[in-house]
Amino acid sequence: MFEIFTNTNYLLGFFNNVAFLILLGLSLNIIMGYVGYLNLGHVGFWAIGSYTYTILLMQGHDFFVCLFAGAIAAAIAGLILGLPTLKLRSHYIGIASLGFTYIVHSLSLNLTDITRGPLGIPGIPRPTIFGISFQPNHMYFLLSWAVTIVSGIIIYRLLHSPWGKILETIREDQVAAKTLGKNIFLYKIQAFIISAFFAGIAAGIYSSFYQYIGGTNSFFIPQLLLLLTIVMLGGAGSFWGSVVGAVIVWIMYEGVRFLPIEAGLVGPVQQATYASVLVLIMIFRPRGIMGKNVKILQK
Amino acid sequence: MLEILPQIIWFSLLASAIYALVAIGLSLIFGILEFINFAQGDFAMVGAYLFFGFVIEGGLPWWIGIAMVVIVAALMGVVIERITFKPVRKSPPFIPLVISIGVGALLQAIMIFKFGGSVKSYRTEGSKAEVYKLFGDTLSVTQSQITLMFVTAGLLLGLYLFLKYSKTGTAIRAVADNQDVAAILGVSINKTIGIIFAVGTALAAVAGVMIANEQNLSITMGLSLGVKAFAAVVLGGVGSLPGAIVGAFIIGFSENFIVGLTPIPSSYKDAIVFGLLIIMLFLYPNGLFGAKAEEEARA
Repeated sequence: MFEIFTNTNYLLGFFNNVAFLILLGLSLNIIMGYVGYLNLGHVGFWAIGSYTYTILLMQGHDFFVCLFAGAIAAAIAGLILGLPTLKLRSHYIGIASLGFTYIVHSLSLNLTDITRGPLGIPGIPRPTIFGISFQPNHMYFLLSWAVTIVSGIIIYRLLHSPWGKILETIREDQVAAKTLGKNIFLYKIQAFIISAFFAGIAAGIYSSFYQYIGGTNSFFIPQLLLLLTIVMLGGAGSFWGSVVGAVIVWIMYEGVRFLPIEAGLVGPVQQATYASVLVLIMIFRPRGIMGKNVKILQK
Repeated sequence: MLEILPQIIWFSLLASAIYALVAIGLSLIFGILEFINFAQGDFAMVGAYLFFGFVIEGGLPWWIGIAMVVIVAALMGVVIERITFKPVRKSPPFIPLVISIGVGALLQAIMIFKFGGSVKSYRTEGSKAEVYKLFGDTLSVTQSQITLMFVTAGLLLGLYLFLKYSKTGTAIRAVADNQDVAAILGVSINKTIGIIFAVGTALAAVAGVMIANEQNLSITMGLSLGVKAFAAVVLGGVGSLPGAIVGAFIIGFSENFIVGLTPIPSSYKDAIVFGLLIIMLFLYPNGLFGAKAEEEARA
């Protein structure tokens, strides 16, 4: 069974998954770790980005146009969700954003003219850029990592800029930030939009990697749990935490495949695995592996 | 239009009763532990599957089945509280909230192991429900619907009497009002919280049986139930049990009237309720009836 590790396609697939999960984790961490809100709507942004990207790409538009359009669509969704909810407390945002994920999921299943509903959209192409085809797995691996690394650098720069520092100040002491004359709501909504934007970018590379999106079980609770575990396991408020979290979560996910269990039970075992990890990490080490002791996790 | 009115009202009553049962558990836990239990809907899902196991697969009479569901669910609530929520009782609400998401996902995975992932139904092949026709055939009501309405009314009345007149009920209200003072006066906080989880989980489990009796059983059925129950709690004013019941009736009636009297397809029912929830959280974060929770909700 270990010959699979020398199988190049398996390894490329593994790291392709890790690439978009890192980006999804990093983008969710902007909200959860730096603003300090429980955002359960990230899967909704992911779905909106994926459908926008896919539908435009299938119409023959340029890869970068589609990637950007998906990200913009997700960012607009972030604005729409953020405007009414960002003045609420964290657990209210949690429930409102869970409702958002549910609405997006419900629309993706019911708007069959656009999304093909439960059938999903198969045959999503991989792009050709400047005459170079990114169809083969190793070429797509380069593309998805290039996108992830560039986005990661932008997120890193943002979080370590004065803007990111102000976000952290708001999280730790809202009154102090207000006293300094900062428009708290503006910073929060910007963070929400940026977070959703990069979820949309990740959604693009996700869609062309699997070359299929949709179905009754996609963009819903299993994915939500996956992202939540990545951020909380790695550590909310830590940039590298989300990277480490994504790698560990995907190792666990793939590891379950090697257990001697029926094929039909792989999905539930995976879900049980990261649900248990999430519960245990929250009980014993809520700051995660690399996280700082941020305010949302303190008394 | 008018001839379908009795039927819509009856469906609204049924839905309201179900939401009220889940919302009360949510409100009890929120009132004392101050976190939203995202697993509340999944408790209902577990109840529905337990009944399926006991009665449909196990062949027990339905009333023994219900009693078994109540007992098993209450025990499950206590055990879950002891293992997962008790260690983090002094933590900020963010942590038990994330844990409850993990617990819900874990329960889903366990139910898939036990019962499989396919959609199930209480209705067996060839069985015919007894249907009563009222108001000149405009209203059809099944025997089981009437039974379940009586069960719900009985449970709510029982809960009211329990909280109002029993010693334990008084202790629960004392703990909800002020934990420290209650502890000084010799109320066991651990025992009281355990009882609250037992009651809340059992009520949700009965609600799960009711909803499964009307629709089908699915692993993810708890999610929409949980979010609607939360909407009911917010509508009625957080922490108020009568408010939660009124909120449940508002949600139950509005969703059925929207679907019954407008051309919107019923598959959008949940999406509409969640959209309204987000708007409502924005406009009335303190619910329709109370101003007390204002500071609670706004950051």
